[in-house]
Amino acid sequence: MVPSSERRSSSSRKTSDPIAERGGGYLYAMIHDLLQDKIASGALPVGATLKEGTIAAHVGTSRAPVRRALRNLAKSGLIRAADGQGYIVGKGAAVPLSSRQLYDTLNGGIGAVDRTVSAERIVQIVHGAIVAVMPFGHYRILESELGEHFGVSRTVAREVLWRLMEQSYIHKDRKSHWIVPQLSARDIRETLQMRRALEPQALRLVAHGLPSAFLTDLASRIDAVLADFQAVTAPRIDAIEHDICHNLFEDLQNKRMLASIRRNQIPLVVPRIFRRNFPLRDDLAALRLYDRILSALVSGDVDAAARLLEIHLDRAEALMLARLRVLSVLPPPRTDTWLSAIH
Amino acid sequence: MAKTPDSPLRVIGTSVTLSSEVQSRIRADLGFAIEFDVLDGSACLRRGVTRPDSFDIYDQWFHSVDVLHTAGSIMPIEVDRIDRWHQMAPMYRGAGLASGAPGRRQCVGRDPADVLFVQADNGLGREPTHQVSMLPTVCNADGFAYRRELAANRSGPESWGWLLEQNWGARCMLSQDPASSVTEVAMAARSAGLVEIADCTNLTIEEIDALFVLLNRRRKAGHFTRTWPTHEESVRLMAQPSTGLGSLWSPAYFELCASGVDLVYATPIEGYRGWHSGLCLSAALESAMCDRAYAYLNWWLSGAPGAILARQGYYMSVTEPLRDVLTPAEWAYWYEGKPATTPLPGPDGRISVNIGDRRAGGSYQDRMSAISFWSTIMEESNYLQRKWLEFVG
Repeated sequence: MVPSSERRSSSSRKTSDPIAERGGGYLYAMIHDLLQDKIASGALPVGATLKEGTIAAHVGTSRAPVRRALRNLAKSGLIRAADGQGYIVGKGAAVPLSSRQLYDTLNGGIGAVDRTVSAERIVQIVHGAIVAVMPFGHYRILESELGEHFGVSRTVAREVLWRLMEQSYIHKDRKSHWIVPQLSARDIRETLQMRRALEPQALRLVAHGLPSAFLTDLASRIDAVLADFQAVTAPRIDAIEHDICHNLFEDLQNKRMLASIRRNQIPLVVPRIFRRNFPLRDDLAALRLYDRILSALVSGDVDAAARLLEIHLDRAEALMLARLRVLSVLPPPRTDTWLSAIH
Repeated sequence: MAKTPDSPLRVIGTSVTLSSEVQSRIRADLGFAIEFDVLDGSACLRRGVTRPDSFDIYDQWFHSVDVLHTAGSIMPIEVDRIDRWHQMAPMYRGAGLASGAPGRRQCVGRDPADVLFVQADNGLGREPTHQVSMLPTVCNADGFAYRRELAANRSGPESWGWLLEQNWGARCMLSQDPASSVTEVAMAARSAGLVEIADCTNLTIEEIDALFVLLNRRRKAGHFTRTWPTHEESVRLMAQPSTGLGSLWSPAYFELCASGVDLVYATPIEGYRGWHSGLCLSAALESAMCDRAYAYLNWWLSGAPGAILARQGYYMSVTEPLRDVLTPAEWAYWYEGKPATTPLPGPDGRISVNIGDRRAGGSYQDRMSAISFWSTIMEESNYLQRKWLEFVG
């Protein structure tokens, strides 16, 4: 089991940056690699016939990722099209391969095509993409395009979207379309009102159980940033903010409260997007307050820490609203075909 | 490449203040190279926010200054380096433009004084300090214009609500800048009793939705012309006989008067929409360019530009030097609101004011005191912007 202090430290956490994740976890890529390995090892011999539907049935996916994997293998010359009868491995004459033989050949590799992992990774990528557009308007997610884009079945695409809906990032409209709602000034005001009501109290509930290693690590990172603020980068502030707003409450036993806190932190996308485009100057005041919150927690003064958190949340509103107004001037980001702006 | 003191000063702005007459005069008076980039309002703001390295001076509206400030695109202006700062009216030095004069209306929206001074915590406010976010230059109190012949049978006072009335037999035009146009149509919808709106400069989501249902319905019924992005386009649109009324800024109004178009400039019973322009220094301004930048800023308060702009109907934040450059007849008409005693030329030399004409709304004091709302980038501008772009098409 991973120690909780290690879990919390953003320096050890897995990246949540969708761009960094891009390229990993595509089902078609996994199928492509599986077939490529089997061809290279000779398990799929020259002349073996590969049909989209049969492979899809054996690896337990839809046909779309198999189609894309086969197309890519054909582009690289490992297989060739067989006049509407699937593909043939190599350049030799076609050799029939029974469905049972193909199943046995691929069976050992089915574990590599792990749909759960795939859905999890797609959730992260889709989450990153929708969060990036939230300040710029209402968007619609096209379920079939999403599946096609990631090379997964509609079932997997729907599972991804349901998970994001559970976290309140998206909803379904009256026509049952998946909608990414625009983040408004009212959302910022209302969610901060909720955070002011919840987070200081939540901090009181979890403070005594916070591992000292987590607190000292976070405190030292804040100190380092304050000591050389001119040189600080956006990801370092994002990571500190993530620890203060997210990881601090991770062990909260009241799961309803935790879920509400998480939902109300969605507008934190505004400072994150802002920091990637504009100077970080106005983050200094918040970092100083974080520093004082950490000092209070380290010294065991939980009430003082909770009061300072209240002050921080009071002050955060004006800056977040101002930053949202700045973002309204920017052109909306370009999106993949599964995500389109609606007016 | 690093700048030298001989590098050209790069200015971005709009045609509101950077007319060809003004540009020629600046170049002649200052004697150093200046590159002007004249953009429409939205493009100018976007450049200001996203590319501070691409200009030295930003010339635009006060209602965008807090956006620029939050984006870190501008640097504070040292008041000590502004020669005529002491001649600024008290309303710029803490009192606020909306509350300076006795009898002034209750006013809503972004009062320039609220974001003028850079405070110790780096915020913007009206408490005087030694630094300002933007140097106040040009301002005005705007109504709308309509064709005289179309209003012959109208009774009752002029009202913003007229913009949404459908019995003109002609179309209505709006500016493409939502910070001014949306406040105007919100005021119009409220005055006409068409939409319940509490504050026309700070619409809620529900008010925005209701307002745009109305606007889109009017648009589909052919009530509006296309929106105009620039002064030149507003003149062209209003000159078309199919356009009966709409947002029109003073230079365009007087230019059309000089061309013989018979327009009335309304003094709406609800009050004017106020706006204020100013100049900012880019956050990326290099020290080698600083002296030129401050020379440019000081030139704007020197009297020369104020005279050119006065002949278009605009006011200046510092009026003292204008008395030396305007004729007594011009001063009396433009600033004192008195009847013209001689024909008065516009900046291009054509006569735009005839003997006996009196400016609608009266004197500088009268008109500025009648401002009841300011052009404003609203809190929900992010939401509003999408609706506006859909409406503009």
